[in-house]
Amino acid sequence: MREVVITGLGIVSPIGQSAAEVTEHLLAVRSGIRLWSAAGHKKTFPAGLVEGEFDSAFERKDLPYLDRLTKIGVAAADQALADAGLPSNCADLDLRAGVFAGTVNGGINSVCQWLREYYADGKQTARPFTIMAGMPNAPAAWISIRHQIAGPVITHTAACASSGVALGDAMRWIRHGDLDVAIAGGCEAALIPPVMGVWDGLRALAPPDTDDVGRSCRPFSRDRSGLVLAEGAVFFVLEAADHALARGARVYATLSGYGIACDAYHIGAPLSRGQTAAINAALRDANLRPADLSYINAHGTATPTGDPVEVASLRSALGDAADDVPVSSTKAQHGHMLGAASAMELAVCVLAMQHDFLPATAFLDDIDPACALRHVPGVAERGVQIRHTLSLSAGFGGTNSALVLSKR
Amino acid sequence: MITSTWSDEAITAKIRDIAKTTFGMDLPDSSLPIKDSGLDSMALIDIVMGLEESFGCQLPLERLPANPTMDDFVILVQAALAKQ
Repeated sequence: MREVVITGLGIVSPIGQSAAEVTEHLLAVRSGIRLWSAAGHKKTFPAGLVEGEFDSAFERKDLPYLDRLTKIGVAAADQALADAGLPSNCADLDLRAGVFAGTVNGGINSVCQWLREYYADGKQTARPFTIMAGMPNAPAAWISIRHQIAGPVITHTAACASSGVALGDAMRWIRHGDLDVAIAGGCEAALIPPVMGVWDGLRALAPPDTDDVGRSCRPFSRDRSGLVLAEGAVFFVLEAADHALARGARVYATLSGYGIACDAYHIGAPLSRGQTAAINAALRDANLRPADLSYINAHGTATPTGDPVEVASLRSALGDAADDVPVSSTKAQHGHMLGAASAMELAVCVLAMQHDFLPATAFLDDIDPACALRHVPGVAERGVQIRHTLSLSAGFGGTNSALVLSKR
Repeated sequence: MITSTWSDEAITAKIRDIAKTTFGMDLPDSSLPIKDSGLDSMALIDIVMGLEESFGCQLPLERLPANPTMDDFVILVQAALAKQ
């Protein structure tokens, strides 16, 4: 089987829109969480908002077809491709390149806009581009059109594990020799009032911290109060190692393991069985023992019930190594990016490996005894060489994905 | 002769307005195919919807030539208005 390496990275996130900016935020443990509000919506929420203007990267005539989801997804993919030193036009790769993109909500801004026109304005016929703007596979399709990628162009949806599954799938295509290059990752842009209301209905959202809204997401903390939703897009260029080396590409790391397993338990409540199985599968795939891991980026959403279940899963999978392997959840800083979450957290692992540091769990002043692990509370630990690192994601519906990254 | 309360120029102006507002495109010559400006068939449907809304008529798409000009749209709108 072919070795799969990461040669390009593109990030559009609440803590930066380049690898350098994100690294800076991670090292300084600076939060990207701000106060979200909307006219007519009574509650305010903390949220990981992406700032900036994305329209100018597109032809004006294409804008009606583009949901915010696609705009930021394409921006991250453009960045990844340029970072990998590949041409913007990949036609020469023909069927040997693919796109693998995770999303949870798809182009929900466009869908909600149409629903408003239908229910509130009395319209019965939508604008012709509404379907193309709202469909979940639009980001993957636009990336393929823009960069002439003609192999498999696939959209993955597995709740919060969506982009982890997309990355794992892409990795397998390359490993098995069917592709040389894949643009893989995920995107999400769903910070609109109806979506906030849906999550609010689940009683899962953290309220804004009264002293500092940036501190609202506190994974593993005794006083954690729920998750903080975020938007963003993260794409990687995955490449067969032989292909990357032949063209003299810079290699970040080897994507050495992928595990996927389902809880097969409850539509909205996690169970350790599936999470543990995903971690075990990823370690087996990478041919590693738990003690070989230098760092784990946890799912750590900061919900009262989810965090202890994940800690139990990690303890079960790691065994004796559980007290030694450093763990953190960087969602405290960038929030829960849903369809981009796994990709963002793998990007954190890549940057930690590249710059020799352990990313911290911000605002972890008071660790919940039910969440005892070898944490990295509050401050990033610098000067730590990372050989192998694992990132875990757990989604509603029970699908869990784990990815292992190894230094090359 | 077909007559309506709308002039041909008003209909052409409306098409230009839709193309500019929605797609950021300038349509210079009313006798040239609209697709030559870079707009696709879905944009043409959007123009049809905009005209129907603005002029309060139903436009029979099957009467449009395959690659219509603004002038073709004007004929279609005037015919639809005359029927009312």
